Amino acid sequence: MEKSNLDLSPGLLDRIKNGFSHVLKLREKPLGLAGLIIIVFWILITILAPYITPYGATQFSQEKFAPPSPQHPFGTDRWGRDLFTRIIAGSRTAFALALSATFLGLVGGTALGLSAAYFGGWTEEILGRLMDILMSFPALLIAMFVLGVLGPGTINVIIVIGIAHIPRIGRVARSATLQVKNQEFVEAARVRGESDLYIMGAEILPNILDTLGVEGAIRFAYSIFLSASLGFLGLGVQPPTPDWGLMISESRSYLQIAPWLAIFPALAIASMVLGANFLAEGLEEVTGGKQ
Amino acid sequence: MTEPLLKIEDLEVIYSTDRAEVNAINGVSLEVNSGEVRGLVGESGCGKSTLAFAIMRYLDKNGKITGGRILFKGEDLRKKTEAEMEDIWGRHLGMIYQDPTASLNPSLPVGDQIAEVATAHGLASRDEAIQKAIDLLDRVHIRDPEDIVDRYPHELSGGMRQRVGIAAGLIGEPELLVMDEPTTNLDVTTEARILDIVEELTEELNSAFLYITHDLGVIARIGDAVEVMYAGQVVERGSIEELFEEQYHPYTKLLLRSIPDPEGSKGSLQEVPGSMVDLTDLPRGCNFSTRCPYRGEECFKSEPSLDDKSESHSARCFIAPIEGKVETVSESKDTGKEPIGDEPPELKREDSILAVKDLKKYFGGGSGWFPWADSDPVRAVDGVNLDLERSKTLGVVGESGCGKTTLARTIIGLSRATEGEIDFAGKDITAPISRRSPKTLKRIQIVFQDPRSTLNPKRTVGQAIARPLALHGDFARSEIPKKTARLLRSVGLDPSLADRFPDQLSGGQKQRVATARAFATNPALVLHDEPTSSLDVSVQATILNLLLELQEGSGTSYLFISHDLSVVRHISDYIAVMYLGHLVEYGRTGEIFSPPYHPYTEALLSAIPVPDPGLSRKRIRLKGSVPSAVDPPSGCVFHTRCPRKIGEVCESESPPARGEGEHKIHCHITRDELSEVEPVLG
Repeated sequence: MEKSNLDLSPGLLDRIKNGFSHVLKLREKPLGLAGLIIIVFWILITILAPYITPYGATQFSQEKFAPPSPQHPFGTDRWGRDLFTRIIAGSRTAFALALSATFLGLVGGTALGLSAAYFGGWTEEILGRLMDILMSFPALLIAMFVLGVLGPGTINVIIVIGIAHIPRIGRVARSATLQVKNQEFVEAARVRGESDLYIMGAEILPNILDTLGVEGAIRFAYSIFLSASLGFLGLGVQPPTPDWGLMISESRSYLQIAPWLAIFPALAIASMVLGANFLAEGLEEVTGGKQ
Repeated sequence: MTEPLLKIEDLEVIYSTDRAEVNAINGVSLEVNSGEVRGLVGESGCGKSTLAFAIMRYLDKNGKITGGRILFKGEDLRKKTEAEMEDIWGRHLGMIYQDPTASLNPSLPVGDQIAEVATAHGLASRDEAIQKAIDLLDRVHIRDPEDIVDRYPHELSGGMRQRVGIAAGLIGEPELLVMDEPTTNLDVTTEARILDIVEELTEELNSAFLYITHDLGVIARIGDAVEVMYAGQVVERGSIEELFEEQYHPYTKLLLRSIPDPEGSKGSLQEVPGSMVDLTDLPRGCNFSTRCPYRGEECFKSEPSLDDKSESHSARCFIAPIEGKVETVSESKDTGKEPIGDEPPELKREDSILAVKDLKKYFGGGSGWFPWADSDPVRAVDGVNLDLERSKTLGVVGESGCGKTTLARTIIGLSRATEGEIDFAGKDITAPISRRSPKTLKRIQIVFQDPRSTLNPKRTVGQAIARPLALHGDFARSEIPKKTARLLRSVGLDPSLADRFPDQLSGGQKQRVATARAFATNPALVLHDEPTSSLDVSVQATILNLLLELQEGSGTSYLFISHDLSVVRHISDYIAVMYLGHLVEYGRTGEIFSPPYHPYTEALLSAIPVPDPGLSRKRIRLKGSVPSAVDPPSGCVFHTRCPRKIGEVCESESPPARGEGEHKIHCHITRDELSEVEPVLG
């Protein structure tokens, strides 16, 4: 009579299936689908980078400022490096940076936003005002200031962008939590004596994951944008690492003789930012999204 | 024979969804005549609201009328253009919704919104229309209508907004008014008053009403004829007298018997087996054949037609009339339920399990930062004394805002008591949850009201029930699946449901899971906060039966909160009547339902809709609505609305408890005088 399917693991399996079905549902949302295609395209590029790049990312040559040609589809820069190779290699930098920073922001923002909303009262007041202060400065300004002190570098850029995300993600996590925390299943958990940590992690968090996923996609797009901006200002990734922002910055002096040096990295940034934003939009629609 | 005002012929409506087409209305024909109140009843999902929206041409985008005609005064509404419909809406054909908030514009004073209907049709100038709105608000018993017309919707209570909606529906004096569950969210006292108005209007203006409700008691009170709907079809139709006298269709018969009788007592209720048929995949033959206890072979082969059984009574059934008495079918009993407790708890029946002493719970007010900004607190519970014996059920009733839910939340520790004491099994447990011992926590549990939010949507049924077992159980973890299965069986669910997520369950099933979860820790006291108020009556019957059965098996005590006196009567041994944070009457169930009554209890009883059209009862209608709990009336809190107020003493002194044994009435009128009234219920 006892059934083996009383095992509690199907819950997780179903959750994964559920997440997968969200992605499947994107088929019906043209914008979301476009975003998904762009992002998947970039992911493939990133993974396959070593196999499709014809040259080394830092490989010099005598062909300086060569215009786009069959040998160099995107042309070459002032050191004679192949721009096509550098754009593809740059996608790895961009992904690594943006993913780490978004993850950092999601973890920090969710922890703060969720606990602020859950505990309410003084905790919420103090955390809320702190976020407000952080948010009242443009993210780029804070990033420039902190990097000015810490010095540029990949790790520092990740930390700074991650921290810049915390208030916004925190705000989203807070409002999502507020909608869940007074539901009866949360009260039922309190009534049977669950700890606050359990209620936040096991009862509330799974119910705000959809919302956080959408916000994560938006923050990912913003991370790409912000890291490119910092690279452009020379505060981000340092040469010779291939970085799109840095490439645009270096191209400035040669705009008249080699406009492709600015155009292709700019297109790369734009497509990835747009792709992530479209994807966020689509996810928001299929998950019934954020408030 | 004159032409009926509204004549629907073979109407069919289909909703297109992602997955499949939902056959919401499958060939409905009906007529409504002038001066008639025609009731339309059925469980949720039977298509009654869809029918209303189809008549009004308000169907959602994915809903489509695929066949039939809607003749209103001889003209087919399906052929009308939007512009032509605008002339008809409000003036000839009006609708009143279940949720008044959605139909009112939050940024316009309500007077203008009522008047708009009249001015838009050129029936009156704005000033005349406002004057008319004031008269109508007075008609629907809103106090100070001159003042109310200038208010915005958010400044009014739900009951007042609903009455504003009704006034807006009436001002154009439409020939036909479609009412979609207009009183479902209202207290019985307000409901009774709105039903009075409907009756007056049919008499005075010869208006016709299509009155949609799930409550057969309401129909019995005001209807002339009734249509019973199931799976998008009318399955039975008849005059009120005939239909309540004899039901030909098994569905009607079962539905009527699943209602707790306000004159009845503790005992099993009739259940309607199974649940609403899948509208995307209707069975061959009779739509009710999947649930019908009387079905024969014929029922699966062809579809019955709506045949006349007498001049004014017809039913869609091969079997009808059903001879003999219906057996009380308790569906869940067949599934081999198991007793819920592990071992019977030590029973000492006379022991007190719960004692509440002078409990007060105030919200807000007081200790702000700025003394000058302090406001008065809301006195949600203001000095309540209760006592509950082991293995008994105490029902708490009252209108919304009387403090009954706050009382339960304070007892269980979700709210911190402002003053007073809560004793559980002789031990003081007044502290909030965080300061109660695990042993106390596991011994008191609660079942909440809203099946949609009572279970975590991201966890399976099995996980929901296993968690309290893991948290409080003193047994090996490997035993948890077995115990989970056992709990599911004891609430009448198949253990295979353990893998389901809440959105794959019906409302009734969710409430069963919530009940199993509450019982998982083997509690001595379970609080029920309106556990059936958002369920269909047929489902309510199964839940009430389950609760009674569980109590019998485990000896658990219940504190049962409800606004529905019939339900409370059905399940309770003792009843406490609350008004504005105070207890006005307390006693054994029988004592509450017969004189002497507290004047408030008497009014509540007279407002219950009873599914018996022959019953004539005295009508006691309360004036106005419940006063604010921030500034409750002095003396007796009920004096502002009391129909039996005796004088100044009511305003100045709080009433004494006039007791006889356990029965206590808090009133200035003497017990002897209170005893002299006629009983409200037969």
